[in-house]
Amino acid sequence: MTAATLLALACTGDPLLDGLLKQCRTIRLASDTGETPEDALRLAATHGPAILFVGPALGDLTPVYQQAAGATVVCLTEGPTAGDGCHGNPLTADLIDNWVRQRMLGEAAGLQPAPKKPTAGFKVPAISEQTPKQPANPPATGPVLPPAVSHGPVSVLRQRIVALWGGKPGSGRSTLAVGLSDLLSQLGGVKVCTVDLNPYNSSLAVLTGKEQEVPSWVNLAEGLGRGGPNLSEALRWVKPNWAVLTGTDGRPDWLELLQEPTLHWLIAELRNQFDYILLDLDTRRGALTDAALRCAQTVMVVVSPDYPDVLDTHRAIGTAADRHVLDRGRCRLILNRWVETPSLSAGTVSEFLGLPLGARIPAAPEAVIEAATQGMPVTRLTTPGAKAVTQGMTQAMHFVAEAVAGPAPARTGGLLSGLFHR
Amino acid sequence: MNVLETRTWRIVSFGNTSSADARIYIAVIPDHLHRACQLVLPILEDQRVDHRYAKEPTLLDTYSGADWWAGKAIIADPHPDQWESLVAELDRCLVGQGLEGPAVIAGARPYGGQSGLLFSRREAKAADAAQSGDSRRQRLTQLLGQ
Repeated sequence: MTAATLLALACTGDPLLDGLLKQCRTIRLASDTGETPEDALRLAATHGPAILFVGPALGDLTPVYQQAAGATVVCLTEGPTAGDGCHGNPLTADLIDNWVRQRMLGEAAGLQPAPKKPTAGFKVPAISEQTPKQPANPPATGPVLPPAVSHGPVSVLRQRIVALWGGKPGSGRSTLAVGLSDLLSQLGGVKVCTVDLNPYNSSLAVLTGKEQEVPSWVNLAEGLGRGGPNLSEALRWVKPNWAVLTGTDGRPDWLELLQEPTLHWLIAELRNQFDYILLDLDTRRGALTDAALRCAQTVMVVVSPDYPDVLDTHRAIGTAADRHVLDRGRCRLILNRWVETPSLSAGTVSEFLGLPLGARIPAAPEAVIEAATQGMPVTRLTTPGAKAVTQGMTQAMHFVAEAVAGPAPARTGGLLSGLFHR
Repeated sequence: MNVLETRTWRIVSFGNTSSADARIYIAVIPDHLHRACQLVLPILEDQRVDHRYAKEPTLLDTYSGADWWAGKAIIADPHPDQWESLVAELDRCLVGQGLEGPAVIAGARPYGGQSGLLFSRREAKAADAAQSGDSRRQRLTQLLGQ
């Protein structure tokens, strides 16, 4: 057995030490990691015989030493005070490799043996025990869901994730999402993605003239089946800087994939490519919608001039706020297809919902219908009705764009040193 | 108050028996780490909450490529009894400060407050527990947590 087959688990609690372990040549690092003693125990239980690298940043390591059955627990320490396990000041990959060669592989190395740890449960397995056992939770059969987020450095972070939610089905969220995306894409140097998260009433494909194209979920499902979805294959480009991820359209096999972890994966991937990510949500709350609402920096609550619609939205916001899914500070009220009447005024709705008014988009059914049948954003039409709608959507767009264009806070170097070097 | 410096963190401990399951993350971009610390650390110290933060903004850049750690700038380990009030206070102090951070971090859920910068391990754990009957979801959660 070669040194390269030694399975190691990184759970030092310190990102840079975890990273250092990646540079070691004598170990094969498991991809999952953690940051607490509980995580370390979970890793040990999942992987069985392995070297479990922990560190002082985890805090009290006693439970790990006592309960990490089967794993060799090695504490990486550095600094003026030497600790048990592998020590160096600073620690280097070579030092760790030497420790592994000497202690685990019985090879001669430049280091003196570290004192054997007296703690109960500490066990150095024989080299013959190093073959990793099967994970406790083997992959389930059936559809394979997205792998771990595996992007490069998070480049971020000026992006804006905007969720469109609220009201009843048919309140015009998708039309607004398309119009808003079109307007945003006209801003210089930005990329926009509109994501259809309506499981059953997916309409972005139709509204953007993409209904004849292969649905995005064909590519996503195929990619997931291969174990490596490629988001780029699933994007449908409306313009060079505006893409749409079309919906599941109620297909059961795709609905099964459209879950909260998938959403997190999607957003993480989209954040690497787009400046604005617009999520067109289902009106009904569920795990997926809640996750999207949590992720969004801005939630546009879209309400039409319909009293039951307003009541439903009021109830939904209250429940979401109670459950910490949403707070009103992130929300803006968008009155869509709006007709001002004495019975239901914009001010009354805003006050009743407890939301600041973000925009008021007038009703212009002819323009909206014409745009939908042509598969284009209503913002591209030039009829008077379309212009009025565009004006309202521009009001909403400015609210989103302003948030991104805001200046970064000034840096105050004096306090920096006080905070970081005290 | 005990302070431990590691390669990445300045770890402040008050000797509490806090549970890592109640862990709160403040996720900000490197440029905003300093300001976030200015706002958050006095609260954590006043309430004697064990916490840690990246020692330098450049470190946040350095480990942003590690999926598990990306974005985790300040980490607080309150006692479960403190959790509700602390997270609300942190959210209040961070809102309106022009701070930005990632929308998703590994192993935690957005708290959902006004600032959008707070994440909770507690809620992620609860969600995991709720899904324990579904092995496929469990595996997916594991994958995304890596």
